[in-house]
Amino acid sequence: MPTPTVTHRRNTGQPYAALASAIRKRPQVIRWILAGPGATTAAILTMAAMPAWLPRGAAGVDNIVYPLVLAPLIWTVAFLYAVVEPNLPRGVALIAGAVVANGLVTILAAGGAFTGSVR
Amino acid sequence: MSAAAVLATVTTLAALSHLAATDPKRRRAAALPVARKRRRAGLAVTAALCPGFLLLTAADGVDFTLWLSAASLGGWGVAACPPRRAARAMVRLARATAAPRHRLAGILMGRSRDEAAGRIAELERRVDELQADLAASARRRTPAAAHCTHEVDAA
Amino acid sequence: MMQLSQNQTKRLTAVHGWGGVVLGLLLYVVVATGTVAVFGQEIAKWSAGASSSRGIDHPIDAIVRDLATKLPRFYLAETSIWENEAGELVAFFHSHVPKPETGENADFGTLFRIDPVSAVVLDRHEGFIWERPDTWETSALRHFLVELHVRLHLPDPWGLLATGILALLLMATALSGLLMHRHLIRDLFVAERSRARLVSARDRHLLASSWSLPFAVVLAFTGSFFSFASTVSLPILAQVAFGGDREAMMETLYEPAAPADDRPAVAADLDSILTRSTEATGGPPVFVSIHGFGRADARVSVWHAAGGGRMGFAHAVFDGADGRFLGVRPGIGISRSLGSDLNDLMWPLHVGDFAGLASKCLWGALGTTICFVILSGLRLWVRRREIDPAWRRFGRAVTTVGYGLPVALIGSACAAFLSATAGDPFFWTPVGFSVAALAGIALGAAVPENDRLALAFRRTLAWSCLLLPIVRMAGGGRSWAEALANGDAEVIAIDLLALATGGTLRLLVRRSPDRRDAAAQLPEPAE
Repeated sequence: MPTPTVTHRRNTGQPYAALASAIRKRPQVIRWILAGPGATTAAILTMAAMPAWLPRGAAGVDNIVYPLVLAPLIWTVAFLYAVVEPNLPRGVALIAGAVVANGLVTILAAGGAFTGSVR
Repeated sequence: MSAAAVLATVTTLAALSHLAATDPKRRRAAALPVARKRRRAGLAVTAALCPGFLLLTAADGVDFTLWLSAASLGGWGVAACPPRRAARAMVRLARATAAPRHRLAGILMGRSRDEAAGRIAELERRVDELQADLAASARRRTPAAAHCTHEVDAA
Repeated sequence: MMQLSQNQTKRLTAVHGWGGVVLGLLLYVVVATGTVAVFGQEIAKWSAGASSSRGIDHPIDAIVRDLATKLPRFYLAETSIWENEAGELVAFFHSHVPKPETGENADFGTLFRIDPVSAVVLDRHEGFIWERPDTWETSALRHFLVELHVRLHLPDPWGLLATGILALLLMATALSGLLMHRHLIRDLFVAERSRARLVSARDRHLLASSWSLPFAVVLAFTGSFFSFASTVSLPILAQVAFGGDREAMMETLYEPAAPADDRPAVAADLDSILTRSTEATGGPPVFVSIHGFGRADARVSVWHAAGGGRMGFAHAVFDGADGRFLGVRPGIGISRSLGSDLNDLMWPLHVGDFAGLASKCLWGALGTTICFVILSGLRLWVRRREIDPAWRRFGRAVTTVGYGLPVALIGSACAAFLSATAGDPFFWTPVGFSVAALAGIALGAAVPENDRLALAFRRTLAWSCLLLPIVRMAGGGRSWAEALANGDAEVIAIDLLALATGGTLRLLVRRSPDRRDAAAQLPEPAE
């Protein structure tokens, strides 16, 4: 299997390209942030958002039990992904996306937006 | 530990022992010659994993978990055993179990014990005849060869 | 295995190696104490003076009813009943009272220790009982071991968070090792090659880690679940899914309370409930909880240990007034589902207590394998850098902790035995551990050469193991004759294990050459 290589985008006028180039300038610091606080925050927020969209199951507790039990696995996947991802900007985008999306769901759920489905 | 879990673990460990004994990289690393026995890796791996699947489907989670943990532990033990010592032990085991294995093979093949013994005696007599022929033909060829054959005979 | 680029492998190696170097020794402490704690029940019987009689196997209804009638109704809100390893019946009548220091509700009540045969009350304590382990814990040694494994003796929640992080580290190192190792299947049977120190260290680490990988992941996964569930996950989930209402969450997750009815009622017969509960679930009863004893809305919950092909606990619920059987409940939720099954598997998979002594022995052996993997990994890391004096010092620290921890644990056991009759074992057990640990550190600092240090530690450990049964008996522990007469096989088995370990170590010490070949000390290329 060929070794994955980082492809540098040429259209520097795009905001994404500017951000990507800023990320590539400090790969070590960004990788540390991504695998440390980034993966941890993404894992916690993913776990917190899960009750909002998971089915409750026959006993009515699955939406609580799955995030409770799977939390360590979610962190491990996020952490190893952050370490292994060859394309750092893509990794940042994915982890940041997970943080934002799950953060929004968590805030809405905590505010009672999904009260009917959660409880 | 239930009998099913014990039987499954023993089967798996036997298959793992075969895989270890015939593993080319293990033998190369220990400077052992290539294994004479056929490896049949696919069959051995199936034999190692099958008990687990059977336990998972036919028995309960307790037996499966016991099998998995015992197989991990036993597998490490089998692999960690020094290859030369393990090879010597296998030879000793093969010698010690030769008679009952032959008997069992005879029974399984549908022959009586006497019939099997008769066949073995017949084969041994034939081997002796062939050795005698070989020695006679070597003596006819050269005196040096005759000398060697004497040594072989004496041995 | 997965094909990784050089950079990816480099990053994974850094995570695997540096994670181990920074926290590996602490992880070793947690895993090693957890391995010993698997036999917590046996250790408690061994150290506390065992009895084969089982508190809940005897009729308990009359005893509990008699004690309950003498107590104010306030204390009967909750009743917990169990048997301890000394064969005594323990009954704790309590209610929930805010603690003066924190204002949070805690269990406040009266705890009785009773001889189940004669029904004589042996001991009675009042107050916030869970804060005083000497009132309910049979063995100071077991308590010390479990606390060290679960919390590293740090206050809540920091202790649980610390061990949770260590469990995540174990998971990250195990899985990064799996990803890094390109020829895992091909190397599965490659035994340790001798005469080449670095290669042999590498082989040893790879072989043990490859075979113990599934167990390491299970152990790390379940361990981090237990550490984070109460400290991080449940508070967050309560906030998100229940608007911070923890009581509402508890009602959803566990048995909802029966409609309140505080009229007095004659409590149902506990002995009959226990018999029917055992018939319904299989496995011996280990814990009974009564909500509202002597009230019309009383509920009796009986927990049973694993048995009859079931891995986890079984929870049977009865009406506490008329004794009606209300059903068998999963650990979480009121009916079975995949989530509740998953939750019920966590405990047996972590502690290995699901098929009697066989599963415990396997779990103990697998825990020892993980300890071996951690230490062999650290030694491999040091051997690759042996040329640097700082790493050689770290290598001595690995040897010191590797051998020093078992020595310190034996020190704590000796202190527990010797203080059992003349002092407070709950005070002296940690002191014994600390003194032995400090002595080990002093030995590590005094011997500058690693191989000689290992030899000195092996000698110390061998003698400690050989002396342990003698110290136990000197401290008033049961003799083998008494243990045999009482049917307490645990006492003899653990003594024999200590003697066998000590004897094996003595044999290894005698066989090992005093001085290693100086050439073997030089660093060599990996392969």
